[in-house]
Amino acid sequence: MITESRLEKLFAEGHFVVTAEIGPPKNSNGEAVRKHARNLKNYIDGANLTDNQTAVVRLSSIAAGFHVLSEGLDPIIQMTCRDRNRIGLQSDLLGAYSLGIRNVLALTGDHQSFGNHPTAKNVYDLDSIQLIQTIKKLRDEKQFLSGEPIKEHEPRFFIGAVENPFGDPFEFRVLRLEKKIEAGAQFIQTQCIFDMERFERFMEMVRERGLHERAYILAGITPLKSAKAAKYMKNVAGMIMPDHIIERMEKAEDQKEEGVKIAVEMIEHLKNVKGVAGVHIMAIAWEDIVPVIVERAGLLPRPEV
Amino acid sequence: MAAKVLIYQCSYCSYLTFDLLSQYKVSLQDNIFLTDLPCTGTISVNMLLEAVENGFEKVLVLGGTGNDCRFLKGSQRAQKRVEEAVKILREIGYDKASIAFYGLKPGDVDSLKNILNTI
Amino acid sequence: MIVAERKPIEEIIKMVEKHESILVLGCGGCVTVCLAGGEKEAEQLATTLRLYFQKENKPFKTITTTITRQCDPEYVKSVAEEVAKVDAVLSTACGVGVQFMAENYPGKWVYPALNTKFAGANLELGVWGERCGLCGECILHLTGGVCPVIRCSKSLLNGPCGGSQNGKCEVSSEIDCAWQLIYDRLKSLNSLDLILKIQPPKDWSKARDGGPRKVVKEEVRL
Repeated sequence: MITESRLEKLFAEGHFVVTAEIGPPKNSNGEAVRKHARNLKNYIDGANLTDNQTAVVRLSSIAAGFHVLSEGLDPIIQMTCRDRNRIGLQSDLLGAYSLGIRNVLALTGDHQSFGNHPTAKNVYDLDSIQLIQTIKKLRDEKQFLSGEPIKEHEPRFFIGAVENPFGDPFEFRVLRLEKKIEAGAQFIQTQCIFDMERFERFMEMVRERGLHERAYILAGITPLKSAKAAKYMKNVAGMIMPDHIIERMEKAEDQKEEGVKIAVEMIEHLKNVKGVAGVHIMAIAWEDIVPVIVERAGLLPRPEV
Repeated sequence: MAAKVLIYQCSYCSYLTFDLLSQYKVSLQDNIFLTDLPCTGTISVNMLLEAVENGFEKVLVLGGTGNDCRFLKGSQRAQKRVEEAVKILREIGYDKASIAFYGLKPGDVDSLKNILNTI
Repeated sequence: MIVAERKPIEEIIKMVEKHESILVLGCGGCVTVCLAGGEKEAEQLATTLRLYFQKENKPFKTITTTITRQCDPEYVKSVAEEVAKVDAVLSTACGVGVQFMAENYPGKWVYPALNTKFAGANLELGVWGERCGLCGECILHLTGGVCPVIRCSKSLLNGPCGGSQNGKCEVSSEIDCAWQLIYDRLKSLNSLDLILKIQPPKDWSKARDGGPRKVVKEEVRL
């Protein structure tokens, strides 16, 4: 155990970890986040707060993480490289830690052209791997990125990163994952999986390089709300949506129910994939369904720490 | 007074056609000025705009059709430049003059007569 | 070369409409090569403006000339006579030329006719692509000759983001993923080890972030 993170402890104890994503609102209503946290509290081990996802301005991930924490749920704050330089990133890491947040997930961040401010200037002073290194340096070397020492109260985050087994170049994905682990990533969250065959090939490569023993891998799950949503995802950059899933959704009488069924089946399958340490459920704008999926996938009760 | 018309013609593609025109006993009206180019692909956007500036209300470029251009892509180039000049006139709201490109097969007198009739 | 393109004509008209005579000054450097502001384009622009003001019944005269480069003092100074004759200068050079003209002719308005876009190359007839981010510290030897600083939409130094798919960038299918290009090239050069090493954060103080830059070559100074 390197950190005080509850999440790290659960992984270390060998539990099949369940986390879920909470998308902060496009306004300043913290109660919306708190409500989700209360609903999810007994069903998941940690809540992941997105950082202006798809470059749309939302309540900040750190503030949302604080709301989640206040409801007694362990927050994982996302931190993207798009909007802040190394000064802003480190400052926010100090701030987040001071609020009691113990887990951070470092990402590159969606390009601003996707969001509601496409004319914005982007930053990308650091990339996600350099951000991971920075968070580790603050913790393990008690130094800022510049090398200046932190005399006391260094932030000691449990460090997460993401990897997309469905992006290209495919062969480089595992090598890039290794770079992230090398940089200091302790847990990995994957892009949502629909193409199980490709994911299995990815995990095979992960195991060949022994990466599953160096970081905890959370497999990404997104329940589909409708056939339309499935078709939409087919065109999202970095996603693979196989036709058989779209067909299955289209044929279903109750599409929402079918979406839940697919998610549950996938989790059941992933439990038996060697190297998968848990699942991360990204129910986009459908957070209420998470308890249903967790229960039906036989993941209850959640462990006490 | 009839509108002044300037015709840029290709010495290869449309010269022959104009030549034939005289055999049909059709002569050009006084308001039409004919200028030879060794290839319409040598025309510039500025030449077209300057013609308008100098009082021509119609500027026609007569080149060849897609496949029979002596210089392979000369007519295509001419067409693109005419398009650009037309775009500029539209952008500055200049509607007193028009610029157009016509592709003619050598010897196609009928088409030429039609074009001249529209002037 | 520096690649530029002409501003919308309405924008140029708004700049110059308060003047009755202007010098449209072409540049024989990069903007001639990228067909944005050389002799031909300067003349075309001057004619376009004259036509517009003719239509508006406003007096408007132009002088058009093109100098070898608008980024060298000897050429810029050579048009002093023409500049003296007009109310303002409309430069069809890149942003460098416009500023250099302004610096050399205090008390005279110098307007930009172009939007300066990037440092790039001619990809095919009529198409130019961005190639250099002018970051001040070249790393092309580490990336197989493909620059991630400017050709990756996010300037990533350690590999592609999650949005790279089928060789294309998440921003647009028109954009090649720089990291796919880097990967393919290093693979063919049998040098993938270069990108397995973690690249440290870039020293942006060597780029414009350190303030406007200057290069001095002592041995040629007199």
